Amino acid sequence: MDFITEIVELNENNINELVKTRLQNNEDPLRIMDDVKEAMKIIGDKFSKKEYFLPELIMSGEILKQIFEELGPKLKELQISGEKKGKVLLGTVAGDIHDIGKDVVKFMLDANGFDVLDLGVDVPADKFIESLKEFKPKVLALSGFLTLGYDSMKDIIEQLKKAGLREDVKIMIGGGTVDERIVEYVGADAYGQSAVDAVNLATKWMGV
Amino acid sequence: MDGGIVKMTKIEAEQLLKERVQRVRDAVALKEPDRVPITPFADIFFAPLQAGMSHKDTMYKGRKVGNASLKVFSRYDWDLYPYMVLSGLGKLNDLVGNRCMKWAGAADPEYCLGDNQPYQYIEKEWMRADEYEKLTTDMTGYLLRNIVPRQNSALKAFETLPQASMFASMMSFLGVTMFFMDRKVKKMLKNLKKSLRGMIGLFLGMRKYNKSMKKLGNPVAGMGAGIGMAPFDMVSDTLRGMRGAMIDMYRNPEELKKTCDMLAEFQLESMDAGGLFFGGSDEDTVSLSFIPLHRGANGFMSNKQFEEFYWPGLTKTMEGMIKRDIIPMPFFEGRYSDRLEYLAEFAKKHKGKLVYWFHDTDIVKVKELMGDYVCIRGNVPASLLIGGPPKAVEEYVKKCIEGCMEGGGYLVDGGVSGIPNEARHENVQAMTDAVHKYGVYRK
Repeated sequence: MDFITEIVELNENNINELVKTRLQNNEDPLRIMDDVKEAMKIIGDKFSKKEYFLPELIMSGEILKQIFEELGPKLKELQISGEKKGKVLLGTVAGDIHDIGKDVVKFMLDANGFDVLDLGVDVPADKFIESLKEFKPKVLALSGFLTLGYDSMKDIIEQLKKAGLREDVKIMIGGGTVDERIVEYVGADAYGQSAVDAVNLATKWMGV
Repeated sequence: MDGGIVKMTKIEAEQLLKERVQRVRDAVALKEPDRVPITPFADIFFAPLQAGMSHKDTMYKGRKVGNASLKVFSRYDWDLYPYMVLSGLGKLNDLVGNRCMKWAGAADPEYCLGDNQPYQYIEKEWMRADEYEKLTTDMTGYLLRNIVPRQNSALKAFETLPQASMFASMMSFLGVTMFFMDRKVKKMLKNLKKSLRGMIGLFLGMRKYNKSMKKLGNPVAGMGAGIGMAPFDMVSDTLRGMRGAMIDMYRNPEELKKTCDMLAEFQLESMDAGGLFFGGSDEDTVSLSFIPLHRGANGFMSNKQFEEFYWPGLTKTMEGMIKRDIIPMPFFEGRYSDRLEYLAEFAKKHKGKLVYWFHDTDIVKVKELMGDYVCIRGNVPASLLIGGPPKAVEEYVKKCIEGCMEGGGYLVDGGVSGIPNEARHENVQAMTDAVHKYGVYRK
């Protein structure tokens, strides 16, 4: 089995050996990273097709971590570069400290080549606005698991309007208790039921 | 009804209570009552927020929560009313140094949320993967000496609890006495004693609320054997964290399965004790044992993984409950459309012995698939109960009733946590009115 397939199949025991061998053969770490990126893209596709689920995403994250450790110093000056499709600003809204859904969205957007800035959890409105000015994303993705998140989302979007920034971004919302009715309530552009929806919306809005 | 507590004679109240309880019992047993029952749960902060309390006060002022619950819930003409739990939990949390949640007003700033934030659980890896063997060899000992001290800073002294083998020696009392003589243990016991007092206060408050509601003819939902859990969720929520539990599906599958099986067994054992504690069944109410499910929903795992890791522990738990005459009420949070075959098969085996509560699954479809075997509960969306408008709430409830009322076996409730914390009164009223308007079987 080749390196990419081993990653996709999550055979973690074989992968470390393969990385070691490739490094001993003086292969360029950049080429190894290209393969890793390709594997992650396939894993993302499998997740979209409901062939893979959270355990597979989490395991692939573990494997990725091990590969990074193996490449270690050789990767130090190496950033995972390449053309990105566009910028997405992401975070769980004020009052809410849940991160599972947000992290899956981040994984899927990353795997699909978007440049994602994740502000973390319990992010206040002004932090979103400040980051929006600096990072200049095309898409703002607001996550919230708790029902209190509805009003936090509403607040962020109202403040964006006041600051004259609302028209600069498309806004998607999602999370455990969020549904399409909340789009209008908070003044967003769309709701995503899953991380796959998030990728589809971002792709559509950025025309990529 | 709206706007205040209705006065009635003792006989009227008793009659009303009896009618309501019977209505719910019939629906659960898949018989048509006179009307579809409405049996909401309420998220913990709903009543206090309606009464003008803050989240922080809700965590610390149990008595006020009791009064608020009485006042707010009695406004609605329901058939089974929410039980009151966790009022005054903040003080108990402070005393044991609970590290599993963050809440408004916590004494430790690291665990303190804003005054207007609901409490939230912290999920993390409390148990390492290499500790499965210790856990499965001596579960109680391991949990008491390792997990309890990690999750509760004021119970750290349990780390030094001596092995019970001491009791097999001639001088067994020495080891045990020495444990209790330790300065840290003495301090811990002092805290435990205080928290015990708090617990008693909490249960007395519950009892007072139940009695006051009963006088108004309002049956408060029984707790059954307390709150049950799917064993996989116990591992995922409170032992290994979701990340850890899912990695274990790959790295330690046998240990994970064995643990889930043992947890199902021990949970049932503790329900025997819990049944006594919560007072067992009560003729003035209906006890449905709430089992909030977390990681079994669509998207979290494949059907194959669900079948291997999630479903066996859950079905073992529910079967054990049914054997004990407890009615399990799994709450299928999220969407379960991919798992309906499993759910239907189980319901078929246990006709009329359980209630399935749904959040975001199409309940009319569920009714078609398994309505002959199981009572369905749900699922007015939180988005409607918060955002409204009342007319949209009414339409949604009407659609559910029309699709699910035939043959009994349907209870109206919200989709997530019953009534969400931030729900608005006019929307809750619209849900209630719609049941009385559209839910009548025969006049």
